[in-house]
Amino acid sequence: MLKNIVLYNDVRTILTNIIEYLCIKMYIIVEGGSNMDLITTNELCKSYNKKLVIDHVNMHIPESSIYGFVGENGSGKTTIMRLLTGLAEPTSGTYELFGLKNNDPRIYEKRKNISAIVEKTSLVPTFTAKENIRYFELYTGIELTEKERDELLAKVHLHDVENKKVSNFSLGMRQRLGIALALVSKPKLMFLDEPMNGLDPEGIAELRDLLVELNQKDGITVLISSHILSELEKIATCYGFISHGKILEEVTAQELKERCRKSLMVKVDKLEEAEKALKQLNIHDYKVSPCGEIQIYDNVKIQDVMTCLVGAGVNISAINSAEESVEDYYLNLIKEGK
Amino acid sequence: MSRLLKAFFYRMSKDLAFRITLIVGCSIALILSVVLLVADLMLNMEDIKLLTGHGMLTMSLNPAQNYGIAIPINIAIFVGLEFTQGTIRNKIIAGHSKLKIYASLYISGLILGAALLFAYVGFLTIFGTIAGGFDVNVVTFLGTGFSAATVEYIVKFVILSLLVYTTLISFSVFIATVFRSLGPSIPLVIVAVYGLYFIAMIVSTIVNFNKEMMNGYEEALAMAQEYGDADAIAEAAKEVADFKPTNDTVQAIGNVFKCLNPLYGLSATDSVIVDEGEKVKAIATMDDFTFYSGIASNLAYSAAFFFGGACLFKKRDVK
Repeated sequence: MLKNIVLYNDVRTILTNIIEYLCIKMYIIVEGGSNMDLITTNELCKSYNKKLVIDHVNMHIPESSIYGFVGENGSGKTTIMRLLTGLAEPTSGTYELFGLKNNDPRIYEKRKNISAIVEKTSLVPTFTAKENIRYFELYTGIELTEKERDELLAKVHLHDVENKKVSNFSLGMRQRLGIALALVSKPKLMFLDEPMNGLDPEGIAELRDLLVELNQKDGITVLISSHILSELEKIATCYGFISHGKILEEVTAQELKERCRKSLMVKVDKLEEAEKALKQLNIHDYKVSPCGEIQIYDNVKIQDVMTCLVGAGVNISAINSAEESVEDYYLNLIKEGK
Repeated sequence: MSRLLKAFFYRMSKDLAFRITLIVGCSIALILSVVLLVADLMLNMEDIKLLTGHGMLTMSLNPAQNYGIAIPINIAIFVGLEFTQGTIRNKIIAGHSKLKIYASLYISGLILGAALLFAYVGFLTIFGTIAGGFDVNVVTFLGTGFSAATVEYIVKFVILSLLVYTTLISFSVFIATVFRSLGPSIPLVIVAVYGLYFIAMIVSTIVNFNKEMMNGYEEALAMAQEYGDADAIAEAAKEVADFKPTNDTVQAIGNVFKCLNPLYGLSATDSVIVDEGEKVKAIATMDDFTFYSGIASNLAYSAAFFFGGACLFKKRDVK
């Protein structure tokens, strides 16, 4: 009899799971969403004192990606992170997390898979690093062993200051502890707002490696904003460019690489003659800087340019090929936007 | 919500302000007890004892005395720090609803307040009872003697005091949520407690003075009637007749204050003289209207602060 009940319960659980799975799949099809995106926003808006700071944003953050969020100060990166983490409510528009709309009550359960450092690391200064971890454990319902806590602190190089009060920590140490807290709950999604602030070059490199490891090993999705674009470039698998509360573009790292223009930089002594010579070579897409540098974007061979310039009596002091960085791409994008 | 409560209790157990308040409270209680005990021994008065359980209980439960004010201030600090240190953000990010966070902050505040209050009140009451007995047949601070009236008064006073503390803690949690910082919260809590108590004291004095004057005139009238002095009867009757309209107005204002001021009940202690032949006792009393209106107003204020704070917290973005 008892066996039958247990069996019945098992069958019921399996059927419930199948039905739930099918419902979610149907929901995705009907809503037109993609099971590839962990976060999507739909015409998301936020205004403060009637001023629109987030302007109809549509974002798509693929699962298991490192999404580099790029924008100038006050562009709305932090506000979007605050909206997605539930710290702020949208004025209009919606967003979906793990396939659930922001007004779905089940979203609270899904948020347990999220960790975030938004604006500042939120720590209790009168607690030690270990006490802060314990406090975090208690409200997230996670029970770490003493050994796991030690390992976590060792991961962020705070194992030797575990009993020091956080009020005596440097900015970098606080940032490291914030990152340790973000890892306590073994999240599926991390929001990191300027996590490299206050970190030394070694710390930045370690954080970068840690994020790549978490992303590749555990499939953690990371939404990261940083002003150090060269660092983002090393880890991001896709990008979102934002300016004045509007998403300018979303691209994958591969697409960006293809779009970043290659150029040839030539440093010459006679700019006017050099320009005439380049035009004769049918080169029109170039930029001249007053210091005697010419940036050529047209696809030409170095030898042809050199022969042409030397033939025109222009002395070349330097020549090299370059590729547009994410920073250049972003700056161009903003210029075009303006 | 149990997770949040566990976390808040953990924080509370390590909270410096809580520890300091507890130590200060116990120190004040000890010093006060010793001073009163020494005074009792030195004065050696048969009918008056300063240190009794009853006297200590009613005195220590008063929220407007120095230690009492420390309780709502502590709660304001406890809640305010969650906002200023940003740890409340972590809880939202971790998937706790704002209502649950507010409710658990509120419950933690009540428990924190109860711990601080019971430690202080318990110490003084137990020490006072050991030293001078709980209810000594003498006149003490508020006037007491053991009788059914005293028991009734103690029960009413304790219930009302606990409700007043609930209101003050609700106010502290609310005000700390409104300002999301410590700066304005602490002075506002102090102003609210002392302000309300001061108003309650003034109203109570006016109402009681008026009532006592009336009783005096009526007693004079009764005495004159007993002796059959026509002139005295006429004079006393005139005074009673002249006095009544003012008395009614003041009583009506007093009743409104009783309903509106949550601290009124604690300051509105009246006393009646009981002649027991050998000894004349002054027994503290609290009329039913004061008691029930106190309960109603405190419950209403607590509910208003709780739901008001919860709604505000839910509606507003967290910085």
